[in-house]
Amino acid sequence: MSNVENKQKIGTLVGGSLSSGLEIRLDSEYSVENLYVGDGITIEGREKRYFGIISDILLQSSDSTLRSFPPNSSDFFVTSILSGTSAFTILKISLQLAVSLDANLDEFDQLGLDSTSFGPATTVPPHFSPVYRATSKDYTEIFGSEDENHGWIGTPKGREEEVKINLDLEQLIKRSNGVFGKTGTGKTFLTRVLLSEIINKDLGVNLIFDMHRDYSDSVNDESGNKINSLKQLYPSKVEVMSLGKSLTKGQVRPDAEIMISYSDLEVQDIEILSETLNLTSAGLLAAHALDRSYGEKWLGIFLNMEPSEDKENKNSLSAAAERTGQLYTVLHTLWRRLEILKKFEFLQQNPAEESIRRIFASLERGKHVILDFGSHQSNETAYILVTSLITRRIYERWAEQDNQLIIAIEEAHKFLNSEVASQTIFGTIAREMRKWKVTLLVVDQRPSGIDAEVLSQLGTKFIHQLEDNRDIDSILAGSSRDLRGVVSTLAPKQQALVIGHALPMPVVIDVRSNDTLTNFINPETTTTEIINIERDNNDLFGEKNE
Amino acid sequence: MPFDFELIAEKLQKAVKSIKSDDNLYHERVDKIIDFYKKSDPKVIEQKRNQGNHKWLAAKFLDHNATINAPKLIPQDYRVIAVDGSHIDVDRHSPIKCVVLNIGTVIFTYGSNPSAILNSSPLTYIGDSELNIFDGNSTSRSPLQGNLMGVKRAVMELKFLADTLEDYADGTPTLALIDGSLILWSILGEQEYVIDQLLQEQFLEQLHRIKKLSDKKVILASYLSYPDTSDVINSLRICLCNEHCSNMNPCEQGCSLVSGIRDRDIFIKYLPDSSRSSLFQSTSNVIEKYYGEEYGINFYYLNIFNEIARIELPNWTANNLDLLELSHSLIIDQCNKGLGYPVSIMESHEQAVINTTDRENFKMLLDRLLAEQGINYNTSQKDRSKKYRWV
Amino acid sequence: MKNQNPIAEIIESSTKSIIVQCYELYQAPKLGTLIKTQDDPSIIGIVYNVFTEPLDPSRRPIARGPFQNEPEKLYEENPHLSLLFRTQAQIFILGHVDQMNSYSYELPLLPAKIHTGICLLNQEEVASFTKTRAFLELLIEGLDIITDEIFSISIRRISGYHSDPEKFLYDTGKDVANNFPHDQQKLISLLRKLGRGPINE
Repeated sequence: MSNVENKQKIGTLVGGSLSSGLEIRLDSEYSVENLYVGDGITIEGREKRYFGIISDILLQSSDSTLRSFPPNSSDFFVTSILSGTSAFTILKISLQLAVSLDANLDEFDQLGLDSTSFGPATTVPPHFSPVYRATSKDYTEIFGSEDENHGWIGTPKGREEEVKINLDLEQLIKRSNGVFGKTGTGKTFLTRVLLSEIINKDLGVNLIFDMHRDYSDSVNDESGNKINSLKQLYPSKVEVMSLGKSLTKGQVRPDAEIMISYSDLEVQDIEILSETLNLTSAGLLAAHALDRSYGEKWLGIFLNMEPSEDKENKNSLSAAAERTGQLYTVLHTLWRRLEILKKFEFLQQNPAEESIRRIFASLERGKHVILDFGSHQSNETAYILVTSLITRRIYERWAEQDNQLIIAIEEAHKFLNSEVASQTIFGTIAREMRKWKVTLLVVDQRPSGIDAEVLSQLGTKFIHQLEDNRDIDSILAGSSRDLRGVVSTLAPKQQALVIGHALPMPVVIDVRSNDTLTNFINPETTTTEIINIERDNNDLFGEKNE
Repeated sequence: MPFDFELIAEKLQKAVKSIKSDDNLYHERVDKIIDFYKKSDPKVIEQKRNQGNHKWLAAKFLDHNATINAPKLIPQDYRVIAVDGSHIDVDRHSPIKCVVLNIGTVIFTYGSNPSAILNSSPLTYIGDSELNIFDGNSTSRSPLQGNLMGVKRAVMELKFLADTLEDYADGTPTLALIDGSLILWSILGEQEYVIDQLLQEQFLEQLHRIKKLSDKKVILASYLSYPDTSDVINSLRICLCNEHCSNMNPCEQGCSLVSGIRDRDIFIKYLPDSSRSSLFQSTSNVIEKYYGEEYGINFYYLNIFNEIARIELPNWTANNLDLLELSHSLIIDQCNKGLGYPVSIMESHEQAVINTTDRENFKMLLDRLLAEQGINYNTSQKDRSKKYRWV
Repeated sequence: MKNQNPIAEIIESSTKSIIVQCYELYQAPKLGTLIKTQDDPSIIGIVYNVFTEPLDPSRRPIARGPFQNEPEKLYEENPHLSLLFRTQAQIFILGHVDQMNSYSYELPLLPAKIHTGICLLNQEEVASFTKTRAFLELLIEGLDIITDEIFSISIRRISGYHSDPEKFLYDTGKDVANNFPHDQQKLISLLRKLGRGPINE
């Protein structure tokens, strides 16, 4: 067997089950401090080789008196002998893959066979099978190497060697995916890698709703190093569009400015905002009524009404109330709450041009679009409104396209919670999966806030550290329950458990450092051409700050 | 039936009570005797002894009376050779008649090159010819059993002693010790031919061999602890009793003083620890009749650890002051090492003793040999009843 | 092997243990010494008990008194004493030399013969016999007989014959722990004894 060299036996299989995890008794020579939850291991059965990850580590003793009367910890001779013999470690393993041992593995290496030779483990190895730490060769076998369809996203947790975990990007973008984790755990960091790889390998086209200006502009990491924006990395492939008038701050020079007309907004966009804007259910019903009554332009008309009780005033709310059969007070409350929309300068009755068409055109040409929110950066209402609207519009028209469209959204629980999931475009996209060649890439810190069905539709999940048990439970619902321990022991930053279709088996990775994202330049494109492209953009789209 | 202690206890009690009452008188009497002994003149005693027609054994007084002799320093190097014997008697019921005599010999060397040798040698006497003493014509025989076996044993002990002494005598002062007495008392009453063979031929032969070694500083002695002897008292009695008693039993007058008192009672009272008494000579019939003048036996009493022992020596040793004193001090040293008893005699006894297990093993060996030859061992009914103790 | 002078003679023999009488009174091999019989096959064992008793069991020694407390003098002045006692050693069998002239760590199938002499293993032989873990098997099995204290003394003495005595003690500790699934307190106390370190001769 080709993987025998450099393999270090760490233990022996002594019990357990397929459903709740196999139990491995760690060899007394192997130090328990060398192992991590989430680390990969292999088990040599008699007919198959198995791959799995450590899901828990337990300390046990052969005799309960050791717990009651442990030896003096300063008696090093005694404690070092007892540990590993009478006091030993049990590893719980989540079994993932199995491969038949008849298969000639050298052939695998040469042909670079993909992970279809491995199947999910449906049997267990026999008692006392030896257990080894997964080697870099094992990882390479399972995860393949980097190529036009596989992107490198990180290294296995705790490995000193440079073992690259490669994601099957083709599989990835065929379904919606999610990046999760508490605030500050590095979701953006990983998302940047994913987007970068998709852009790099031209596998699909991204529409990114950049709420916090993480992708459209360069950022500084914790050590103060500059991380290039996607635009800087792929200047000719990426367009940045800004909502409303662009700011002069920063280095981002948008390729276009986006304006939205009131008539673009539909009631469902308002519905999504109900929580954010604190709208009542009566208010939502009123909105529906207004829509039915006034038609497409209802919102613009409604916002221009006067909060007057004068029924004679055709532009008064009370007139509207009568017309729609709604209570004045309800309309008034609704009007007050929706007033905030007036502050958005990008929201106009009649904008200068059809921004949505502009966006669509770029996407159609294969350009990745990042929507920067300008002065409304981090504004929840603006974000939800615009994202919802644009997504819906683009989705409606994407049917004839061949290219895969990936829509990246943050604060996904706002769009996909149980209350609204069935009604919003996002819910639809999530459910319909491949049908229209549009998928989502959701980034969120509260997976428990996302509809369970939607979560179950996600193809691949990238899970950073989560603290809330409900979040962990919801993200691991289904067959991955035994990986709870893995999630709770993730490092606080830039470490994620990746499970799903894009990988043959779950793995914990240290996310690839963003400064390794290469500045991909088509070698045929000269410097002059790049300048030309940029000049063209400027000509087309107006102001530019020198 | 179990021992009926009640009946015995009564009688014992009475006897003990009478002893108690006699006690005070006893001490007075002893003191008187000692007094007399100290004041008396040995020559006078000798005279009276020679004249008297007493029938009891009275010792010959040699030197001054009531001397007290402290032990001299022992030489740095000296040797002790002690011999003792033990035997398994004839089993009347066995088709094979045999006797095993086990002689234990010890040789201890002290001083600059200390060493010790422990040895035991079994002698077997099988069959008629070996187990009997025959007279010249073989018409009369005396079987070697009981008393006679004891005599034979004493003879063999002395023989082993002589053998060993001849090998070891090299001028180093050598004490040759025997347990008991140098006087073959038990021979009295035996047939003439027995006395001839055992005593005169064999016993005295050994004495002769030892005598020849006397210039090599060989000191032959016998050690009798807590002796019952009264030949010294008996000589004093002759002088004390004016009645010129000739009876064995003390008369009611003069003899009453010494009645029931033994030599040891006297000497324990006035000899300090480790000191010896004056020298005496034994006038035993055995000696006078059979030993001859050449082999006279002398003796003295010794206080060892507050108990009296009687030491007998052949005259050639007793007459040599050096050897006499050596006998005294070496015996004291032996007793010190033996915590009250000469260690060499103790060890020679241990070498000689045939313990119960050995006796039984011997019997079993015999039985097996007989069985192998197909000889039926018919034991008597009495023997069987003793052996099995059935109900 | 026959060239070495024997120091004692077998007086009792069974397949698991041997009792020898030492030729010199009080000159017994120390506890934990490895010995071999001058027999064919040569049997290897370890000394776990040394005792001196009177030749005649019915004769019990009595104290000689406080003023005679210089033992050498006592024996000089009473030379017969050294003849009345004998020093014996009890030996636990750990293996034997098999037909291929290599060490086997199994019991010999037949016991050693009475009156066979025994002698000590030399330095190389000790190191060679104890270099594999297998020699511990019978020794650990016999812990009840040879006692924890003698076991640890033996191992500590043997460790001195190896180039890394501390590691030897540690490895032995591990072996013992692996064979002691129950009675952890006894195990801990045994390990503590081993932890006292090598005994250098």
